[in-house]
Amino acid sequence: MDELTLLVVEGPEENAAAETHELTRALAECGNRPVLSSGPEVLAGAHDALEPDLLLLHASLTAKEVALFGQKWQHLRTPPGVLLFCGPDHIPLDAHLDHEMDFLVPPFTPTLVRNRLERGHQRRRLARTAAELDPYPSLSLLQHDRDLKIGRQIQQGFLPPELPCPDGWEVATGFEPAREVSGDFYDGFFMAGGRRAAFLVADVCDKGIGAALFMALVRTLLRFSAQNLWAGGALAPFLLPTQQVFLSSPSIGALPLLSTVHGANRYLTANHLQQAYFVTLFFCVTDPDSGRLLYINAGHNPPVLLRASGGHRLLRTTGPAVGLWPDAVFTIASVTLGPSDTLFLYTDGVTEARNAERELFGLPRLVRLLSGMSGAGAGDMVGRTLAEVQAHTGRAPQSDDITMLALRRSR
Amino acid sequence: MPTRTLDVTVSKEGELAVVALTGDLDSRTAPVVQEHVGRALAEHRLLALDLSNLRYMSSAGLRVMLLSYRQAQCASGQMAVVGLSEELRMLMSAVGFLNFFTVAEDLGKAAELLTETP
Repeated sequence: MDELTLLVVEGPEENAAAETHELTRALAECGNRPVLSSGPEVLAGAHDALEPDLLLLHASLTAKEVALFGQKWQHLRTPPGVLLFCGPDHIPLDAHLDHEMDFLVPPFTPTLVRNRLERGHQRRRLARTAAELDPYPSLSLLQHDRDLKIGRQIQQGFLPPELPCPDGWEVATGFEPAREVSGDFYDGFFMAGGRRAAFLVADVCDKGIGAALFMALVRTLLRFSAQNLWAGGALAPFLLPTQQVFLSSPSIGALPLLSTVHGANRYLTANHLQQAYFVTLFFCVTDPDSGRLLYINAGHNPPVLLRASGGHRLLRTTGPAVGLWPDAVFTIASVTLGPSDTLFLYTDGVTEARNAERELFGLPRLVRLLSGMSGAGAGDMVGRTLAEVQAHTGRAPQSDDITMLALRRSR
Repeated sequence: MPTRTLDVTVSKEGELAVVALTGDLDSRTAPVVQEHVGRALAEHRLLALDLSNLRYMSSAGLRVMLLSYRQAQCASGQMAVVGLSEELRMLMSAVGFLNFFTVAEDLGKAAELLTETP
């Protein structure tokens, strides 16, 4: 068995110190490095940076403390298992009998302890699988953790399993969710009978289940409108803002793009004004043959257009965030991607990633990074950007979703 | 993890209720602000959100501002934002907030702006 990271927590009872000491010595003798602590220290966060495999808790701790400690590391990919231990009298165990805990009782000989640790470790792996399968998280999970899980399931259930990739184009995405569920998403689909491909990256404000639900709503509205308004175009005139004037006849894709964003804004402000959610998004419709790209940037971080010949451009906002006010005006802008040009879309999880010193990753750094790899493929660009952002963040917690989408015209 | 904290102080400047924020406004601290704003709007028609000492604001903060603005509207009240840093002003401008928020340099200006409009 590999060396395990063990956190041993002493209890308040009179004999607890001696009993804890005895167990710690046995643990060390069978090749582990136990970390010794007390209840108040754990609660104060003294070991938050530790990633324990197993918590060994003295049974004189209360059931509530035991539950709290067990929750403390639930954010780890494999949360630690919990073993209760006590002295020869076993009395403090009584308080925990109803909670289906695992126990470790004296004598604490190295062989017995090793055997129990192994079983505890196996049980923990099983528990993890069971937790992943269980659609109804056990009651012992704190409400907050359950909410996180539900929110994340909603959010990830609305990301497309694959994106359209027209001939001669490369499309790559990266999505790294924060622990606290947020409302980022990306999407992509064909429109106009396959003659156009649409891509979008969006960020719903705030966090939590509310943001995840709003994300699901917005994603559905946008995708449904964009794909269905196209078909006959019959609904489109009703959804267009009256003040919108086309200087020339609108090109394919312009009408559904504008109607979709406008329709979503109208729907959200008519039905969801009081929740005060809003979403920033970059939505583009591309003509794969010509490389022409029509877009609306609704209050979103400016995507970076990288020219194969060197140089870059930021595609700044052409309208406010969606859901803010009913009569918002969105304007369509256009650019053309030449061979080997790349458009890099992202959310603020990239530029606002902070390290332990609270320094931002920042847009200038992102632009520098991308400019340095303008010859790279779309997948590489996403992968390396994610690696750089994570290297910057270091051990600081990831506070926001990191979402990226790279679109490269390869010929 | 560095704990983010926010201090909220509520005071009165003439007709104006002032909710001043010091620290970090994010999804954790936003509900507290909402509560204070709600209470202030129950008693006052004019509200100023003083952000001079705000260190950090996430999108949850923008949502609080929007919610406060709409609450003020519902209560036939008015709201101004005071003490925007350059960074915050740029963020609000990019997301499209500046178009419908009253923005003032200081509380005196805020009171002037909010009382002069019919």
